[in-house]
Amino acid sequence: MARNSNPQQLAAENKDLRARLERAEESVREILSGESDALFVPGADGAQLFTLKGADQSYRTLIENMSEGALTLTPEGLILYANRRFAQMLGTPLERVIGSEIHTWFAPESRQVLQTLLQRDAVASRSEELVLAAADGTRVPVYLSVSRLLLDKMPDSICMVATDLTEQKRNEAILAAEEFARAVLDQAADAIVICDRTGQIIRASKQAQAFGGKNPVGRSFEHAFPLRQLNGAGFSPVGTIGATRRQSIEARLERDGRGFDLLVSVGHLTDPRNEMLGSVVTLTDITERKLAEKALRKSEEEFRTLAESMPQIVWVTRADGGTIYFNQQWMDYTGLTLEESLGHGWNTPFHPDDQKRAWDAWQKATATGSIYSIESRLRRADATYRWWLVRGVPLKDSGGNIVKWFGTCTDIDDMKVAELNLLDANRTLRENEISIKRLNRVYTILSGINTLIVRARDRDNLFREACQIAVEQGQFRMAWIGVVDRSAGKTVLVASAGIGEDWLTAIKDRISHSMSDDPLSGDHMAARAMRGKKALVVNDLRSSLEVPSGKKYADSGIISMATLPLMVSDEAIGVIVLYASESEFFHEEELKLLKELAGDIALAIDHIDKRDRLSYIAYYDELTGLANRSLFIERVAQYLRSIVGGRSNLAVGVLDLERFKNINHSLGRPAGDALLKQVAEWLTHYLGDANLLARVDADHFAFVFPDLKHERDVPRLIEKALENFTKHPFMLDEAVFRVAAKVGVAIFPDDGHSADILFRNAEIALRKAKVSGDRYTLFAQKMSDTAVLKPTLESQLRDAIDNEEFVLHYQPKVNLVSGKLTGAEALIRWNDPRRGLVPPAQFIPILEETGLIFEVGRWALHKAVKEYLRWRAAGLPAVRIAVNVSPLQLRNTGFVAEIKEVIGIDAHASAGLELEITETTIMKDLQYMIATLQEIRKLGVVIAIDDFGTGFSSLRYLAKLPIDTLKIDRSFVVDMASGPRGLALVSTIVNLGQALSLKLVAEGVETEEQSRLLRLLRCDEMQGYLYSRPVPIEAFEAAFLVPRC
Amino acid sequence: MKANRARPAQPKVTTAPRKAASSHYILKLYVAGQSPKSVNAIVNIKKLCEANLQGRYVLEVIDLYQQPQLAQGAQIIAIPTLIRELPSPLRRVIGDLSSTERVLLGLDIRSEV
Repeated sequence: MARNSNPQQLAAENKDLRARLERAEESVREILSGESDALFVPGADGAQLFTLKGADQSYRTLIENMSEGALTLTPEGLILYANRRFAQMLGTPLERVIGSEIHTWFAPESRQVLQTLLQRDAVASRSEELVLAAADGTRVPVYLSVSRLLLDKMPDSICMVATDLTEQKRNEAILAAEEFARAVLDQAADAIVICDRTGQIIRASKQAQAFGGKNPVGRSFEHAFPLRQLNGAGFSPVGTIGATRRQSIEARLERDGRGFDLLVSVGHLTDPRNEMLGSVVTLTDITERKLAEKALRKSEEEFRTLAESMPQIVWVTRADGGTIYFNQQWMDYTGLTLEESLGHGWNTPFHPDDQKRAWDAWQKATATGSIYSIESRLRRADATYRWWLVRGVPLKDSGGNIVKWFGTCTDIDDMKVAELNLLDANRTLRENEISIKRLNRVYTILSGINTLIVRARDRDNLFREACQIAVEQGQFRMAWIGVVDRSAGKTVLVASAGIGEDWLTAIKDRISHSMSDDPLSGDHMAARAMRGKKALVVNDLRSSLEVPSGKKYADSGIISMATLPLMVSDEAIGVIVLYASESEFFHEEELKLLKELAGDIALAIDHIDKRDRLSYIAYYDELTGLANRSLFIERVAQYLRSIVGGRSNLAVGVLDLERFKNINHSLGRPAGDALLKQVAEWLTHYLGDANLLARVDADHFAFVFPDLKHERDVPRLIEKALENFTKHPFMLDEAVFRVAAKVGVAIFPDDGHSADILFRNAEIALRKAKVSGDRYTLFAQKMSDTAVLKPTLESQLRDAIDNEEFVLHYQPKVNLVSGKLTGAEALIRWNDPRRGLVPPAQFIPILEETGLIFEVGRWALHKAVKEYLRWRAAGLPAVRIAVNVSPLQLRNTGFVAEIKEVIGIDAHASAGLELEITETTIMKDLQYMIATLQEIRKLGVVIAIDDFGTGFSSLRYLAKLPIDTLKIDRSFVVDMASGPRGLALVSTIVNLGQALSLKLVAEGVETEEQSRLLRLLRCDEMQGYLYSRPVPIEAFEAAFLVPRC
Repeated sequence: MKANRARPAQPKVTTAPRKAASSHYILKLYVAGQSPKSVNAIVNIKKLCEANLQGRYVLEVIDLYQQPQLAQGAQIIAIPTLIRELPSPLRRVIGDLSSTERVLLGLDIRSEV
């Protein structure tokens, strides 16, 4: 109120105002001090009583402190009152809440419901779940209860109570989560333990209980699971709070005596506000894994030990081929270090030529996942290369991908070198195969020929089969053999194989066509080969100029040929020609063999020839060409066999050429031979068949009449033959000779049943004839004693030996000068009981014939030695006894042994023995005699040549003879007195003997005159009737061995 | 609850844009729970602010029963009292604010359209 007043008035107003103010202030102070709780205020329309803080305090406190949010609002939504709780729910200061619009605090989706709730016509209280929106946007789920408030003097209000459902919702979530978790846990294979934030177990999976024992829920984690980490520390999930990442640790758990290796993984549970709710611990049993790890380490260790101990190189590479392991052997061999070798350094020692191949093989193996295997050279530390077998095996994972390669290298150098050598050898072998095949063919022939040679009967057989072998076994197309026929003057084709007629003819023509008699002349291959004594070869007939018909051959498929001369004693005797269907067949190797072949054939030819010759000689008399004794007797035997039962006769005769020896001596051997040939020819001609004739001795022929009609025809036949024979003039150097003959005949069956006996008897008959003077004698004739005697003489003589009917008579030898006894000759006599003393001439031949001579001769030797020894033993002046030795005895190879045996009975025995051997006997087989006599003389026995002068000693050989004495034949002694010549002869002999330092004994001295002369001629000794005839031992002893007194 | 969470949605608390030219009002109304005058005052000031200061005001209603400490220094005797804190100087209006003119005058609010 504006007033115009003076200062006094103003001051009074002021004072009044102040007093009113003071009263007011006092009232207020009163009120404020709490003295009054109500005001009485007069007003225009009466006084009003205002009550202050008071009776409704408890209701206010209830509302203000309740846990729900409470608010009052206008129906339009203006919040007139809200409690602190509500403001808290909204995260807003209370002063901002009161007076704000309720809509702002609700989430959009709830506004509709809100609107419905606020509607006027809703009378009863309603409740809804709604969502508030806090200041920061957080959604707050609330349970809203709405009711209308009817206050007097007040407009309508709405009351709300909001219950915060957040916790409940969270718990619901937790519960749901828990339900889920429990289900999961029950299913979990792993051990899962859920702890709260203090580390207490609130939940554990079934598996966890296996580790934690019993029911671990409620216990602390460390208690239920006393884990020990690798560093020895224990484990608690609480300790890991604050860790931002999920942790995994290894720990060990001992439970009920068993140990488990566990992987412990901890995760934390936090609520939406990041506050730790608890932790989830997962325990994974890695015991197996750890065991597997240990096993793997062990296995790796074992691998390494193995790899290091193996002699091979061992390597391991990654899938890309980079090496991760080599055993020491690699380093030792290559000289590289491990560092240099790892990765792709393994390629370094590979030989440059092998590297590409190795790489390619590697690529292929890697691509196909198959085994890598290759032979390659690797360089050794000393820079030499050796062959190695490199071999690798891929290791794949479960998906089939290669993870690693495991491999070895093995030293195969020796084997490889051998292999390469073998390949070379094989190559060479193959190259030689062909030539070997060729050679084989020739070898086949050779062996075939060699067997052939052994069994070939004759030349024809040999040639024919040789050609066949060449063609059939040697697979030559053609083969032929030609032989030189000197007498015909040409080469003759003797055998062939594989050649047709035409060609045979052509060949024959060609080889027989020669200008001269010399089959070796001529232009054809055979002649040239024989002339040159060398094989001629044409290896391609198609192009050869040497063979005119070469083309013809080629057309028939014959391409090459070889002509080989057959040489015997460096002389060509023929050719063998071979044709082959291959060209170039005959090369050095083959030719060598073929030459051998030709040589073998030539040898075979020679052999056959010789064999033939031998058999010829064995059966034939070379000079006359007639059969010899053996063959003759065989033939006779054959004739005998063919005689059919008694119907015909056979006669065997032996013919003696009289005085043939004289002819030989006087005209010489060749003349004698010529005569014999002529005789043989005449006889052959006369008999008509050479087979009936034989030459059985130097001057004896034998003949046979195989087909006699009558026995009585024989004499006539013989007489006639002899007559003609003697009449025939034989010519020798234009001189005519007439030859006489004597014949002895034996007739079958009377004179013997066998060829042998017939022949022998014929000989006996001949002897008889010679002795008797008859021209011929038939055996059957009973003529003389001897003829009668003879058949049984042999047996008698045999008996004589047994009965000791033989005696030795001794004829003394005396010194011509002193007359003293110097020796004695022992002569065999036969004291036949029937006939008395038989002279040796009568039985010695028989002894020789029958072979009894040996026994008798032996006996004589023994006897003589025994007598000598007896003389010695008896103190008599024993002299050497000379025993005659027949040529038969000497020829016996055991003779020397016999002598040894005879003198072996006493040491002095040899001094008492002398052997007398006729000159003729000695000269017959000089060399043999010399050797034998030498042996005998070595024994101490002396040798004398008997009948010296009657044989044909050559002076040269005489000097060589190992003899001691010459006994001058009686004929010379006799002739001595007949004339100067006779004397000169003896003188010569004596001189000769003396010159040769031989003792000289004259035989057959019968007269004083002879003795005197011999003495003059200075002959040493004499023997003969003059002094004494041969006398028995007793007489000898008595007469001549008078003991010296 | 921490205030530093992500803000999915903006609350509907109006924050007046700061304009140098147009005045920004901070009004504080002190009431006594739900006494009849208090209730009226709340309704009336709300109506008035919405009509005259829309978008330019912040109204805080302090219930002295629940938040007596917020009245300190404000020398509140009679309730309800409305104080204009901003713009300064302080202005005070006591009563239930039923007379709109009186309030406008008292707060020196000129309606700015």
